[in-house]
Amino acid sequence: MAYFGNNQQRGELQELYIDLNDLNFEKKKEAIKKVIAYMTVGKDVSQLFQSVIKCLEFQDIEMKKLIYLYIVNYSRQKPDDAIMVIQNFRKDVRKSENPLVRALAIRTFGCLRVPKLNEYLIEPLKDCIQDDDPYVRKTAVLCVPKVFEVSPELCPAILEQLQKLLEKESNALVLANLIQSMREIEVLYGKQLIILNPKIIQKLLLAVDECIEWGQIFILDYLATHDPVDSKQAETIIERSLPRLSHINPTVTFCAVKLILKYLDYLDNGDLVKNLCKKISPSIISLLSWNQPEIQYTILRNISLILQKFPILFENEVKVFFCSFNEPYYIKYEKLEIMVRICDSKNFLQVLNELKIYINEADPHFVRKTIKSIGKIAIMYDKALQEAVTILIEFAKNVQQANEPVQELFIQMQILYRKNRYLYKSNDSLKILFNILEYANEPEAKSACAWIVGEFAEFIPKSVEKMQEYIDHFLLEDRLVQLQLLTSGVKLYIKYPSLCSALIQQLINSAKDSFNPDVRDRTYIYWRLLSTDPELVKNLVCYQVKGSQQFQKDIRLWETKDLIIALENMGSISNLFHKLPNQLYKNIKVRNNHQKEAKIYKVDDKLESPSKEQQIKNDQQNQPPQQNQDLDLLNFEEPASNNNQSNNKNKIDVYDLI
Amino acid sequence: MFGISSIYILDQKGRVLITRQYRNELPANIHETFNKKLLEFDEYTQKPVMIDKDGYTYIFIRHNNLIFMTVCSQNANCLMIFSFLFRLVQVLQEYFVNVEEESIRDNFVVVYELLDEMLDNGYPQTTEFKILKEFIKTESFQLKEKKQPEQTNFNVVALVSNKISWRKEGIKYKKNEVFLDVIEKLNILIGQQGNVIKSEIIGQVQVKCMLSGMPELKLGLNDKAFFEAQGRQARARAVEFDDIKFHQCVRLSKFENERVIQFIPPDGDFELISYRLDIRVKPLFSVDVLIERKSTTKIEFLVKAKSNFKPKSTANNVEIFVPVPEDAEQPQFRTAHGSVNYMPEKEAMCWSIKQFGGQRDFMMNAVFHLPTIVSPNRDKFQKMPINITFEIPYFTVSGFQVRYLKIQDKSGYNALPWVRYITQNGEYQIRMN
Repeated sequence: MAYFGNNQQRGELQELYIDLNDLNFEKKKEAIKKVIAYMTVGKDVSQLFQSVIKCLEFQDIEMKKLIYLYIVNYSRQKPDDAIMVIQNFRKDVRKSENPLVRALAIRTFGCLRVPKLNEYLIEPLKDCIQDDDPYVRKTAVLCVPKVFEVSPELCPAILEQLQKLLEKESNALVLANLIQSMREIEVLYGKQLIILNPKIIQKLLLAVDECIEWGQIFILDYLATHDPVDSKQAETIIERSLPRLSHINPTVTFCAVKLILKYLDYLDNGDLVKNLCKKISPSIISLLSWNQPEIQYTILRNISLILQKFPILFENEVKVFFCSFNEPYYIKYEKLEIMVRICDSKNFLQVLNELKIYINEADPHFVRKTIKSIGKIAIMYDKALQEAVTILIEFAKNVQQANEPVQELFIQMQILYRKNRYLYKSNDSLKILFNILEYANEPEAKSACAWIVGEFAEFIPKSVEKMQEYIDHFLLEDRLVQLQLLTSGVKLYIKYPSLCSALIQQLINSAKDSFNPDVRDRTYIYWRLLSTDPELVKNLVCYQVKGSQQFQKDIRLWETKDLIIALENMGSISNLFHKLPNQLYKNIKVRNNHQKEAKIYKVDDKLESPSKEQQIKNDQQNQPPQQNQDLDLLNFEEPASNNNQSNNKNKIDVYDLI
Repeated sequence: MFGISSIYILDQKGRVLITRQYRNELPANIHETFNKKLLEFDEYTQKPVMIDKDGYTYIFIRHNNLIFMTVCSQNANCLMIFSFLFRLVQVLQEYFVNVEEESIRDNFVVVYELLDEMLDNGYPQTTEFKILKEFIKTESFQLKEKKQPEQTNFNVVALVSNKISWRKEGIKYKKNEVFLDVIEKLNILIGQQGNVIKSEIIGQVQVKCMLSGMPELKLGLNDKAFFEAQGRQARARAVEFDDIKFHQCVRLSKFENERVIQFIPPDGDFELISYRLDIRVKPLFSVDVLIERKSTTKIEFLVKAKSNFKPKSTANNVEIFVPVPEDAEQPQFRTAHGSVNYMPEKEAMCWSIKQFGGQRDFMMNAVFHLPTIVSPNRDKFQKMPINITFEIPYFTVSGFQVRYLKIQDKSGYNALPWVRYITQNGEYQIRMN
């Protein structure tokens, strides 16, 4: 059918008008289709309003649907004309014998959203909620929030009616829609409408078994917001939801997972918790084998949240997160992040071996992130250091241009050298890095280079020349680089006093004129110190750490109370952006949460944990005086760093399963 | 949890083909904001969910040059929306076979009707094609059938809200038959030394059901957990599922408690089971590539492919994709088995072997010329994996077996079940570097 022909003639509307008023039914129907076709492509056919609604007289369902569609589209432009439809609507709702027509009318009615029409709507709506046919009821129930949003003052009676319906309704689909609709009104209304008692919970659980898949989602998702009264109730609900883990619709499975994870906190039986975790884990992982990357992505984003509270679910599952070559990059990014977070003392070598392959990928951002991840792992595990350096230096050998990954390479190498100074000896790393120093162009990378030149001056043949090069352009550099150049310059001077006297003079001369007060301050301090007590400067600047330093692993992304809210919103848009709902949507009020601590579910490793904690404590005591320019070595994801800092204050207790 | 505000079907240039608003709260030209937003990203940074400065979220999927996009103004369940969009495409496919610009334009009335029925107030409702087709019909379909009395409509409505919403009463076949297709796909990633890095089997049971009445079916598998639940000794070749998922017709609570798969099937084709096994599989095929650079302008590949499954099975339509330098030219191939094609658009050569018996190995030799001006990405091919596609009939990697399929109907007819097995490649990759 060529409704979309380009040769629109002037008299088209006129022709349609004639056809619409034709006595022949088929001709009318064709004309209506044409009207809708024009509407679809955005042509204005609102002038035909009168003629179109006259056609509502006919009982043909397909035509009715199209006319209603037309009315919904233009009712806001022509509220006065829309009133004329009311009679037809009421007739359809009340008199029609066909439940399809009744439902269609009430559904369309709800979409009008013209306040002055709503008072005519209330009575038919009430009738529909009590209709004998469940199809009409399920439609009417969803119509209530639409009306409520526009004219809440008309609704008190209907809300009561809904509450009554919740008590007596037996059809699963109606019940599911009812729950969804009441939840939506609760948000708009700001008051609780659904009052759960054991009887209703029982009914809802029964409905889950009988309902279409989407209805199951509504009910499971609602139950996941409920706080069970005791362990017994939690157990019953979990038991009844378990079969949903085998549903083919990923959202149903995921909602069941959400519900069960939430209720785990309420169970007192440790063995049961353990068994449930064993059941849930493969279900989540299967969701990742959906061949639709969009679904995988949503699941991955949520896993990175679940991970914080339930590390146990992904124990020994690191392989699942290995990237495959053809995956979209947004999937690879998520997988990479999760991989690093679940990397532990047992599998870090396996993870490093995998990362070694990603370092050759095409996307520079991804390679950069890979390099950063390698650095993170090396910092957490002493034994990984050597391997990490080998990988990074192998990469450095092939660098031919100044690109993003190279910047990260310098930054990470600096961090690794800081962790263990003696790494400079391995793999000719210094020499290889020195050859590509010119490729550093980001401030952070440049400052890393400056640090390397100063720190290892005695092992780099041309360190003084290199420093001279840097200092010649001192004032053009970023603040971060300037600060580092100062310290490195002083280091060089201490190491080669005679060779560098001119250099340090030039450095101080340029630095004292810097626009940045920090730089100026530091210049003056060094200047004074050098002129009074050079020995002290040596101890201060050339401090050397013996052995390697320890760092604590921290996979926390959220603060406890935020984590709990985030877990309640699993699957939602806000979680996809790793935000709290109230950060994205102003009208959402966050439920007051007094829970300060979250149980962490992890595998029991009694042998390891006490000694580990001891170690960390010792390290904290033995920690060397900080160097002048403090770098947050454990800087995990940027947006989360704030969370981390405040998180460290209220310590989360570790919950052992037995 | 809120619903979808509106749904758009856009063509590849971002023009609206069809749109339906469920909550009238959006600016009229919001799809243009979406189009602009799309341009902000490149292939590396593009994600399937975007949010704009006004807090509208765009969730979209692509299908055949079409974009199916939803706008949400509230904190909706994103996973549900993705699942719904994929289902929508699936339903449209069942209606029009090819879902593309043309078919959407030609059938706009049906698409409107579907969008109206499948979503209400932005929440998914009935999305089962077998039901939708009962009361939303395409024009061509409608022409054939005589105008039906209003009566059928009532039955349809009952279907939607019924417990068994996927099957209507009164289906009749002369010959009652059920066909089961067990399809296993092997996802495997093999390292350069031939070590298996990860492997999993994704299985599916596809059913074509041609049964009369309202039959009750019971399916028995060699499921290890079933034998254990029965207190029986597991058979030697029992399968241990890591995860198993069912079509909505299967009584899930019955399965959870007794591991019995019992259901009243929908009519026609549907996917009954999907399962996943997370087990270490010996590679079905291994491929070794030896690369020799005779001079700067010539590169030679020696490819050796070996099959490791039992000699009595045979793989059909085996295609081995070996990456080559992107600027390679003038290919010369030599092999005693199958044929080789150069596919510059894939930066690979494809070696196809119609029939590949078990425990066999084949060799292939390829020589390419390389231009003297070296392309910057010449060595990229070594980072790309070798891909293999194949089909092995009458064989499941996991050892999955259907033990029985019992069919019972009130009328007591005899029905024949047929079972076929096949193993295919999923993502079958071998790393070269």
